[in-house]
Amino acid sequence: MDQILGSLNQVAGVKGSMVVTKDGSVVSESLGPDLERESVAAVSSLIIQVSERSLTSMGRKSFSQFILTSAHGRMVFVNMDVGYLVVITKMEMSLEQVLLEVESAARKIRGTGKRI
Amino acid sequence: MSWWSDFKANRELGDARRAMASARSPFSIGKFIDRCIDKNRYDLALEEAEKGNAEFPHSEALTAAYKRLIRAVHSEDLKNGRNDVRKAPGPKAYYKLARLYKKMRDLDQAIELARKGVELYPNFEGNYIVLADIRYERFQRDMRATDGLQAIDLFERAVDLNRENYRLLFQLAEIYSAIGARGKALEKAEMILDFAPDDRNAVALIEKLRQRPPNSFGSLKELLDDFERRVAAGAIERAGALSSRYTRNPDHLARKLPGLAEGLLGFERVVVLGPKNELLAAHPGSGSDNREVAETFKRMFEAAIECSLRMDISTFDKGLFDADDGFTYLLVIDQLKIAVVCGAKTKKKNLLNQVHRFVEHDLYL
Repeated sequence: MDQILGSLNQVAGVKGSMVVTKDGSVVSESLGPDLERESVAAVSSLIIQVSERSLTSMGRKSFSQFILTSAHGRMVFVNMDVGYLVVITKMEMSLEQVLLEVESAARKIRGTGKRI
Repeated sequence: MSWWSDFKANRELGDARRAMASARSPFSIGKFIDRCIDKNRYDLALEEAEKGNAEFPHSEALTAAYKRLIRAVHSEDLKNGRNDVRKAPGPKAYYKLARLYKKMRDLDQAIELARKGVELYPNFEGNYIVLADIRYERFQRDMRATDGLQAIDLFERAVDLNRENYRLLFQLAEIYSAIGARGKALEKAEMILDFAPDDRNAVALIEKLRQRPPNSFGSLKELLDDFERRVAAGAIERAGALSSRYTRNPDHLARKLPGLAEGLLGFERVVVLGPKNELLAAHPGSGSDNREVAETFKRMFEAAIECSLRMDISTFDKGLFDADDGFTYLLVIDQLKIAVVCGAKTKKKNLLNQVHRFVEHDLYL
């Protein structure tokens, strides 16, 4: 899994990635110098938990993908059922291109069959 | 260009200008700017972009059009700047290219270059100024103490390297003045008088500052924390024209929401919250029908906003949840929080395009 995240981080515009459980336990991470492990895990857990609870309360299914866009950066969350792939990207890169790489990494991680 | 193609271009731009004027919005101005870029009329595009940015400072469509314009205008400068950094690197080469990227709103690149410039040439003030400007812009937008402190720290480092940079000292004095740090503002304005004793602007600023009572805060951090608290409590006005308009008149907003539903196959619901998370309007149904769902969206927006700020990626703009049963799309436009829910029949591209047009055009009319 570390290798998959390592190669995902080589993609232009990707600042770091992490596999995290809903409660914020880090399974694997490969973060750039500006990102702190605890901080990324905590905010990811917060947004995942609130979003899942909120969607369920509105009678909707869990999200498969969530893209959060801010003025100076993006976060992509992919639900892998057993955990979430969280990818932090720069703003200036094409989202479509980054998403292809993120989805491919998520498929590979699912393929490792690792129990989280 | 021959007179005939000149004539045709002018006529097309005249038509485009009339179309823009008949329904003026960030979206229509963006379209006009793009037409001007196509016809190489950068002068007209710049003029309209500047007017538009002043009129609709929070617009995504205008910012995107402005970026395209600046890229087109400065494509040659960009090529030369990159060459200079590669072939003849020096502090000014990094500074010039970083500034160009900043102008093009490619802030990641600007920060990367300026940081590299600071690392390689720590005794040149220019790259600190680029970093400080970017941080200060973020402070103005998000009003967070940490951004203000970082911006001031970077500006101060630049002042330490060059104590006779007029623009820098004046800007720093104005920043201190804006956040209420009277003593610090006076100190910087007086530094200008050391090398420009008759400068009218500095003298006027000093006079204005001396009329203010001194503040009671010990440190700059305390002052900025207080500033942040006042912003959070709503004591400092942040709402723009759009937000003010619909907060005053939510019925007007409610009348516009069905328009979004009409163009969107699979549409289920739209809810709009105001600057204080109050429910302004929703469709379908009345406010009371949507109170519960509005509470849920409020929690989602709060989590997304907190997530963005804690990740230091500035304020939350939008979030798209993709699920088997459809999409949930959250956007913040000028302090208005808009949530759109669609079913599985909705195409993602159509959702993004329709919502974009609605918030960048229909809401402004």
